[in-house]
Amino acid sequence: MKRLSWLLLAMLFAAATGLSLPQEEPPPEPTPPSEPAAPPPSDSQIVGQEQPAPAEELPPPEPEVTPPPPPRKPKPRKPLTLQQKHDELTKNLAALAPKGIYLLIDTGTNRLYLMRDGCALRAAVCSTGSGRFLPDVPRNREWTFDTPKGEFRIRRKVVNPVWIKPDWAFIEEGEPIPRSQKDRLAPEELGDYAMDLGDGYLIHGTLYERSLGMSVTHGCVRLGAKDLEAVFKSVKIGTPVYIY
Amino acid sequence: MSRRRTLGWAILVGLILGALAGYWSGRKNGYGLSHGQPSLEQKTRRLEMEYPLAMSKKPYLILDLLDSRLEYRLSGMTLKSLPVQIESIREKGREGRLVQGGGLLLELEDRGAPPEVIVPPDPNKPVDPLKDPKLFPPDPPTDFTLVFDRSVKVRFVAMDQEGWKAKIQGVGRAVKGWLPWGPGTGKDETRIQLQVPAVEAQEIYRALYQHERVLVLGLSERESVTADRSDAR
Repeated sequence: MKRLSWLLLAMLFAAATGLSLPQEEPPPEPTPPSEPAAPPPSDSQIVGQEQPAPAEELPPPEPEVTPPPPPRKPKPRKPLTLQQKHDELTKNLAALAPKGIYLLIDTGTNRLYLMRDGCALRAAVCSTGSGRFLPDVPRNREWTFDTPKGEFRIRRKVVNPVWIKPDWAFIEEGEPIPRSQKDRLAPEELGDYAMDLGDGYLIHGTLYERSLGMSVTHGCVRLGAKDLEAVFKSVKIGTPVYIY
Repeated sequence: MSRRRTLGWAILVGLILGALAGYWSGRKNGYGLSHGQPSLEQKTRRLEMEYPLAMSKKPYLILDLLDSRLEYRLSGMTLKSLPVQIESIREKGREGRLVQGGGLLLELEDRGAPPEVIVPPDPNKPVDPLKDPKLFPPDPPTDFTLVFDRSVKVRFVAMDQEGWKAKIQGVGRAVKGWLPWGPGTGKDETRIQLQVPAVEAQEIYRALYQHERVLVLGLSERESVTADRSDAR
């Protein structure tokens, strides 16, 4: 009897405190029918790019704890100091100077210099443009016979060039302009060699070496036979020519 | 009596002209004197002004009034450098002054003389080869005035040669230049007068084309800017 009262007392205590007494495990409850299982991942999903899972199948992604990194701003370039700016400009100017072989043509003194890396290899007397003006009033045309100035390149090298005389050559002489191309050919006028600078301007030889050193040409640069040969053999197509 | 009187007048006029010419040609103004070393800022500014010219692949001139030199440059290279003697600098009719670090970029509008026009010869008349300008062109002038934009004129005058004949020619030229180029003239422009040897004057003239660009160092931009603003309405 006493044992029974103790057992009742213990059960009451257990009920009051929520403790369960050791007892036999109940049989597992049948699990509710779950959603159809996701198909097994295919090979493409493993190797290939990641595909987002459907929203309803997966719990929403946890909010990231770490804040996203701020967008990268381009690093502001340090302003150059005056000395750096000066040095950069000096360097850039020096970089414009040609290297290797090049030609200098001085229209003021009518001299041509064959140069290599800033050193003169050969100085030659030449003739440059006369600066004279030829109007062709009946045909409303005009020419100024100046040698163009600036930076040019040798575009073509010709041996035994033949001059096809343009209209101005006849107008200047007071001669009628020929209709036939054959009447315009002047085979020996340009000497043995010619170097084309573009736009019809050439460095070539002359029949009138006495006028070398004077501004008498129609814009081309004339050289004596020996200088012409030396220059022709020293330059290549693409060699820079500076006329000033 | 009248002959003596005429002679007296001739001597008097000669003395006046001589004094004028002597005053005009013998003035020492010190333009070409040293103006100290340019600062790094001034050197950098000069390079900044020159860099676009060097990139253009066209020749340009630097008239350095502080160093009294005329430099021919192309792609940053100095191809030729000629010494010049500054005779006078006038800004709006008054004595101009050189400014260390000053620079003015100008474009040539007129080199002082129209180009020689070719007149075709008469095919029926024989031509003297010694007088053929195709073979023997006339000498370029030794006294010419270059007209630039921004109301700037630069006059090149050949230096006097040795000998009495050249001296008389120099006096004649000085008197001739007095009226158009003397003090009090050119109230709206900047005028620079330079002296160079006669051969160099011809060389400079021969190689100058219209629209040639010249960077004048030592000249303040202030005057020209003021002039531009006063014109703007």
